[in-house]
Amino acid sequence: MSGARLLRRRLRTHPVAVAAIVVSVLMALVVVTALQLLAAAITEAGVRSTLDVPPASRSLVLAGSLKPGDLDPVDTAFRRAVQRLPDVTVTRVGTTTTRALPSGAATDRAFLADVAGIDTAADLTDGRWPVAPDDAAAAGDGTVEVALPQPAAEALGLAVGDELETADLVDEDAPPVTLELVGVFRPRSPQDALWVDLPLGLSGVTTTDFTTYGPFVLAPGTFDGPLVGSSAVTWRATPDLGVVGAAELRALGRDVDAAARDLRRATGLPEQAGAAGAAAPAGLALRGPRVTTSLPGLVDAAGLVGDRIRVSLLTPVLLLALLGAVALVGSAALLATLRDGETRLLRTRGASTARLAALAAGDACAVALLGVLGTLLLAPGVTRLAAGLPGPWWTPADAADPALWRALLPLVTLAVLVTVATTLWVGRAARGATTGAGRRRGARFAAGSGLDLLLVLLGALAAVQLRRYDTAGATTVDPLTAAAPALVVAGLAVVCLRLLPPVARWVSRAGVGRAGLDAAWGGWQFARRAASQGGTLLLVLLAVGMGTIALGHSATVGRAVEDQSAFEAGAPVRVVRGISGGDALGTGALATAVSGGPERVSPVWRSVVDLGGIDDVTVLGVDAATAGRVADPRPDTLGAATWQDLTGRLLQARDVGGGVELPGDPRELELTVRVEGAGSLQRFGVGFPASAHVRDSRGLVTSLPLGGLSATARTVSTDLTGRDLQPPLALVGVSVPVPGFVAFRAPEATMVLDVQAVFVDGVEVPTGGALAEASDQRGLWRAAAPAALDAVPVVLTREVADALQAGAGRSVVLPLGVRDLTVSVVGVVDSLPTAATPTRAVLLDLPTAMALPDRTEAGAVRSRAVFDPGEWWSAPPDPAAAAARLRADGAYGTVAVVRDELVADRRDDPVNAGMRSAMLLVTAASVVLAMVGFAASTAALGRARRHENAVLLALGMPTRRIRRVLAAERVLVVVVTVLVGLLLGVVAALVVVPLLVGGDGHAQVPSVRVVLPPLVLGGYVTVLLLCLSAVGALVLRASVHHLAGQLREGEPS
Amino acid sequence: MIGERLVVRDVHRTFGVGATAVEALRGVSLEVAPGELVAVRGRSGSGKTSLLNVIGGLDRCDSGSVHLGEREVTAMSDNELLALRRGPVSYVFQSFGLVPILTARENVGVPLRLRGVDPRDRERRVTEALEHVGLAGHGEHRPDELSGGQQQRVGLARALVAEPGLLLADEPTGQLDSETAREIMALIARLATERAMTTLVTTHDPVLLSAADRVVEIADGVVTAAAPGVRVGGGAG
Repeated sequence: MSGARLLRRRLRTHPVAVAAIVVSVLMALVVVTALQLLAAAITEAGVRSTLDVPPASRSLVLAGSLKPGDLDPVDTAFRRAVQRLPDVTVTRVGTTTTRALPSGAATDRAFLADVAGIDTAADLTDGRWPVAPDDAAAAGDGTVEVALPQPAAEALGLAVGDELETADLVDEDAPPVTLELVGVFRPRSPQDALWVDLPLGLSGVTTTDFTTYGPFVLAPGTFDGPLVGSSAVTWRATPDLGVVGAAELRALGRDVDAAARDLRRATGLPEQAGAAGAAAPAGLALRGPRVTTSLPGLVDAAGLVGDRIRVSLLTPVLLLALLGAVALVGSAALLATLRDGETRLLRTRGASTARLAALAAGDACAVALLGVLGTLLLAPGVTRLAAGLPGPWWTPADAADPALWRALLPLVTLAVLVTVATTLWVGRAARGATTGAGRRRGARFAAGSGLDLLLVLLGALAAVQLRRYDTAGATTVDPLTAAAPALVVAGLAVVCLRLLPPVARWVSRAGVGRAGLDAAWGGWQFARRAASQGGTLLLVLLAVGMGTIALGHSATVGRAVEDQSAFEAGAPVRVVRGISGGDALGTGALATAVSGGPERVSPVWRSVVDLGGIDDVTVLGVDAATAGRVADPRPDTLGAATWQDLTGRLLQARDVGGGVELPGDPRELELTVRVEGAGSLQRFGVGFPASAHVRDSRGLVTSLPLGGLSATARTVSTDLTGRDLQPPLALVGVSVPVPGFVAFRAPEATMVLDVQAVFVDGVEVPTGGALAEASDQRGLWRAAAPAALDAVPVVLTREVADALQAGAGRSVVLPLGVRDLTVSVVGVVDSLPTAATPTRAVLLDLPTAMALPDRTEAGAVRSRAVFDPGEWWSAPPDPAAAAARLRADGAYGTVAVVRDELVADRRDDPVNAGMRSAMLLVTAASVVLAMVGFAASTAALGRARRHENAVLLALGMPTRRIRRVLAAERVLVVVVTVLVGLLLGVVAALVVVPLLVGGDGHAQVPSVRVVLPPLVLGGYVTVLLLCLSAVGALVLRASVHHLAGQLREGEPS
Repeated sequence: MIGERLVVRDVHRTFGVGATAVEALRGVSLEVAPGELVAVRGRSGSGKTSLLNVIGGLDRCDSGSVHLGEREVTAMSDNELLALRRGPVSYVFQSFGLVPILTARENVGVPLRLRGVDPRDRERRVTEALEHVGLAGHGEHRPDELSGGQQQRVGLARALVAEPGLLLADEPTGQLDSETAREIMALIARLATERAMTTLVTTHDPVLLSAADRVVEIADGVVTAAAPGVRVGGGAG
């Protein structure tokens, strides 16, 4: 008989067992290969998403100052150094000079910048970009072409073609420079890196002591002439990382390092950032050079993401490989048992072990070939499905994918080896069965005590590793940690296997003592054959354990995604004002309108400060009355208190103080004001900008510009419409900041702010002397009585409280920039939502903070410190509609952070989605493998017991009853094993799911809470029970028939 | 229970249909007196086991009848046949038919459990049965801890514990060496005598036939000869 025919015949003789082997091999090969391919696909996506950061976070910057004429060599050196980066965009900002705008107020300034590459980050709305001036202009007596951002052009009332004369601020005798506006532009995106170097470009106007307009963008190279003495110049190279994949990461890292090293060397800096020691002599005439880049960190982070994904997917791969191997051993053992007679015959006819191994290898290779074909056809499609990638189910190119073969070949080899080894193993055990002792030894051997030993060893290793992970608070990803879930499950499964027989014996005792046979029979079989069913039990235990982990992982990721999104957003919708002033002044009103009323939105003031020796502390000033409703941080992040309780404590001390009531819903506020003794001010030009401080019904104080004041009484007005002011309103103060140089030349004692009358919509409102006078070097004030309050209640995170050594009840001073604030601690929590560093934050009530008295050295009360909210936390009835309106109507730069969108983004994150798919794939595969294994073992069992069932029939036991007892026993085995497996899975899930979810070693905020959804798990267990019971019943039905014919068969072991 | 008269009349049994049909029994008639030990001799495939299966109700004949005492076995329903095997008819198998995971005691107790005998009564009768076959000290051993002869003694004890009127033994010594086979045959003969139990033993071993009261020969599904046995019996095994 030819080899092929023999093989065909051998495979046809026992179709059920062969099918079990084929399904085991195919399932394991397809899923494990698909998981490997998935790992590659997710890694690619993960790397791309990590590198997808705002341009400013992926640029290489060189900065320093230059003398005229030195620009070109540095520029050339920079461009040469960075040209190796992929699709790099280079911008250069020469800052620059500020000049007086003689046509405006005394405090108006023009900010000039020499910019190269502005067309990469801005679009012209009118005109053209400026071109380099001729020599005459550069010499300072001609016209220089400029372009202005739209808001600046509008604020100055300039259009293309207009000219503007600017004066030197220092040298009064210097000739004026005339600027000709040739273009008006608008930034393409506030995220573009150029605006980090040229922030004024976004707003066009900024007001401090002066009002500065700009940037007046000059043509590249303008400052390289005699226009200015020297210039601070910033070069910025921003590569396009969208073209970088996982394979190119290493090269990118090398190029980035080389570029930074070249620049450091050329500018005379040490080659390593931050390294001490003598620098090489500089080849370039750049003074105070700095080379900064976050690219290396970004490349490292992308590399870590790749590692994390590969290692995280190692967990399901190992779990499934383990399950597949156990199923394969079971099926191969069944086939070998079925072939027992055949093998004996071959042996008696002189077949050697080598010949038998060759036959087994022939079988295994045939099965493996089927497995390879199936994998080639199925794995690419499964991968695409799991990764959510587009494309057809299969293309011919898939079969040529080297990654597929790299994953497949070792697995196939392993499968062949496992099959051959099992066949020989079972054959040896059967040969040893001629004596009682040999038989027992063989049975134990076949039951897989070697496998048990290996698993115990691996489980112990995993336990040690997990303990190390716990104590070290590991920050790196190592493969053993990722293998830990598989090892823990396997280790626990072995422990359960060891426990099952004694438990079964104990359970069976009840039945044995009774008169009838059924209960005793089931008990005997379960108790005394549990050990020999090790393979099946292990398979079911592993399947349940794996399914529990996978479902727990999925639910936990879902929960973590929601928690993290809620933490990042703070509220269902968080509106962030992109730029201050201009159109953005109406952001608060828009936020209130889209939220459906002021009770659904909390204005938030945010600042990041250094406190008590720790940096990056986020201070959040909220309207505690509404924040208690619109935000809802996870309770366990707040320690013992609830969010409502905490915001309630912040509100306890709220007292907004006095003020001049402005009746109705006022549209315009007018004040008749003068500055007494301001004669000395006149020489600095007319008009110091005054502001009215208006408090609304929520206690929030808004600063409204009144225009310039002078020594003679003038009536100045401010528009109250379009602002986020909820009536009734009150005037709580008027302030006039005094620039430092004015205070220096004209001491404050000579000046007093005099508010003579207040009008609302043209009707005078009595002030009743409510506004008391104060003045010092910083400014002139009129202020209503502040709150009777010594300190603002605050909630601190534990880290900040520890750094400040301030527990609940203590008072400390917070330097907040706007003013120093005395606060008393009313609560300590673990973390606060939206904080840059979640564990470093301070929460306070904004109206209370604004009402806290701010006194001059003389003890007089200044008007209110205005904490201008830049964010609004909102809980609109329809967040999606609110976000859409905000995006359509919001001022330039307004960002709507929508919690549900963040949840969706995170869910779709390639790592999360891929891991979820992978784990669910593993669950499905584990159910199928458990069914195959269970069918094989039940078939083996049915066969092994045919003879004793025939004896029972001969002794007068009805076939139906035999079947029922067998089925009851199988169900008992399945139920007990599934329940023990569930317990095992729950324990394993609690241990390993946090490792999988936070697999990159970075803190998950808020911390990951393992979710084990009872309904889903119950459903899974029920489905598994039903599937296994159905398979068992079907197989038993086939095996318990024609029993009388079995009576004369030799007794199987 | 006292042995019962067994009457087999013109029993036919054919397996399969058409060209592949095999006529296992072609009109077998046989009568065994109460307490008589009859050996059925014949080559492998002669129909010995088919005959025993029809008598014990494990199989049904195509025509003919089997009477055990007053009962017509061939007219019984499936349930009545099962009840027959739980009571008046016991089997002894060539391959002993022991359950490997059960001890000797537990194996012997199985028929009593099937009849729902009270546990105390059951344990007493199991002990007696084991003593009868000379295995008083081996009750807690599993089959794989016993020799072939001992295993068949357990099989015999299990058959006897139900106190049958008819003992059917199909090649009870087929897997034993000749010395052990002789001992087992002698044991069967002694027990049959002691209990006046009607006994039908199939064998193709001429040496063992000496233990029987009568020898019936079967060839190709028909009784070809009957000869009185030379029963030496009574010798313990």
